[in-house]
Amino acid sequence: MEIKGRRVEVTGMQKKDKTKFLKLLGPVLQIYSEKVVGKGEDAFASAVNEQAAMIGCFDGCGGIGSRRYSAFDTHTGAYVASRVTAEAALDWFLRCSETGDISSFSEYELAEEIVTALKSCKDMETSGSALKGSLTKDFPTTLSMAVTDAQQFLFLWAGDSRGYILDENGLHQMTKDDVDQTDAMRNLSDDGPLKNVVNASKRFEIHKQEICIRKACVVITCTDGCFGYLASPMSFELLLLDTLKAAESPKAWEALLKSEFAKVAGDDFTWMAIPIGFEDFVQVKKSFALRHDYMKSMHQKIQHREAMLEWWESYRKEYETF
Amino acid sequence: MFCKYCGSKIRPEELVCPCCHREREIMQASIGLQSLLGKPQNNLQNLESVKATESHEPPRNPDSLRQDAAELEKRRSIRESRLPNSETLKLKKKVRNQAKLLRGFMAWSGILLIAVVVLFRWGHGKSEDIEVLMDEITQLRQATEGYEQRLAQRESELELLQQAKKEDEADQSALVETQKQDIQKLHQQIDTLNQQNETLQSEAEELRKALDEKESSVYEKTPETEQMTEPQMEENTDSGRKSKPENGIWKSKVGV
Repeated sequence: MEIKGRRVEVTGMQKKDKTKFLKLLGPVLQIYSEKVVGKGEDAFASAVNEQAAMIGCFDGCGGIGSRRYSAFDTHTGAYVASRVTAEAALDWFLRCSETGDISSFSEYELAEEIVTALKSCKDMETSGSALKGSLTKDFPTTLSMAVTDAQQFLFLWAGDSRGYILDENGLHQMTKDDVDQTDAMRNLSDDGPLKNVVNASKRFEIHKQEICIRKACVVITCTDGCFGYLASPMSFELLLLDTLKAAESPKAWEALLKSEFAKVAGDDFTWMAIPIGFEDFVQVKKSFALRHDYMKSMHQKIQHREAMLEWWESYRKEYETF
Repeated sequence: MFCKYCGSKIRPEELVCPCCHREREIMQASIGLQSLLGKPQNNLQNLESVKATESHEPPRNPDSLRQDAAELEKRRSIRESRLPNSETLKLKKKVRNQAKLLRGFMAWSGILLIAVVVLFRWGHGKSEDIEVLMDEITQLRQATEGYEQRLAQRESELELLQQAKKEDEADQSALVETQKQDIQKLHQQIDTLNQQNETLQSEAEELRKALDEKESSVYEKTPETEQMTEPQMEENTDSGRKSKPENGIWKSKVGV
């Protein structure tokens, strides 16, 4: 198993004060929706303690994980994989956050935890029998996680689930999809196969990106059901900001976003976020008001696809900053 | 930190929002293994059901809030007790290491067993091959012995070199010490010479003073000295006029 990693320093870090961590942290926001109730192949996990916070979204790969397992009530491999991976990721976070700083959180240990959990599922199945055969991989799922102590942000991912940071300069994609096409705009129209996903039978990579930011922002992780059915990455940002402006509380923001995603999504969708560095929700709304106005005015000017592509070329500089 | 339900600021130690009196959000949530086993452990669903029931309830009194706080604290302690502590982690690591060692040992023993089986199965009766192998083994042994001897020689050489190096270092330090002493002596000599020089200079000044005094007494006595002073006085006057010497004697035009 190979795990690639890189570290990006944006600003100089000061000595961390853990007592301030919880004060800087907003509530964990989570949206989860199943296309067919009871058969959703997405999963999520979140945890907050005095050291750090973690959010994670997992999207079981329906195509290559469509094999059904009698040991798991004839659920598909994708269904099982996302849930088992979510639980393993949660265990990993709780264990790591007890022992040290988030920069010492090991993606190797995460991969080990996940592989152990998925292989135990595979072992359970060998005693029973597979009802429906399928080629390819055992228990495939994507993974997108964000761990933060309010100064350092650790993004871990495999597959096409994404991690973002939303700040006053806009939306920044912190992860890189495991597909041939790296252009986020073209990814929406060219649905290429995934090159790398978490699974129990073949080699996979967990990518890692570490970043230090000392300003207020919203950390987001989500599955492709949230952004994959929109016209552009700009539309995704505008959707987030539109609903934020209209919301009276974090819970209302969740509800509005969920209804908006449901209008466009053709798949299960899971979205998780943590606002960081804000005193209250009013401050969150104020911080993004200017950005919302800008995005709204720009979006109104766009009349045809060529103009949208032109905007994308300028927008992507900030979108891909990290 | 702020409330998920009303968005107002709350302190980390507050378990219930002071504004809307709702419980703070659950700090840990997942769709995990429990949902696989058919038990609804989805905390998001739980939250929503809590919200649905609470919306019909009357506003809470302080006692119920206290009870809620106690309940939350209890839940938290249960959750914390579930977390592995450092000792269990160490133990886990130790067990893992032992398992690794055991696996390694088993693998090697398996390889040896296979080698023995192969030798008995296909190598049985081939005494020539065995002899050849034995020869090779003896050669290898001899070679290793040779290498060991060379290694011992190298080690002794290295020791000798180290000793020589130590001696050189000692010599060098002694040399440096003597050089330092020489330099100190030279400094002392320079100091004494300077003192002598100072005394000689003071004596020379005294002698010069005595000479000057003698010379001045000599000038006062001779007439040439008076004639010599007159033009000098004239030169220092503002008018700058000069009179020619008459009969070789300088006279001032003013006041004469």
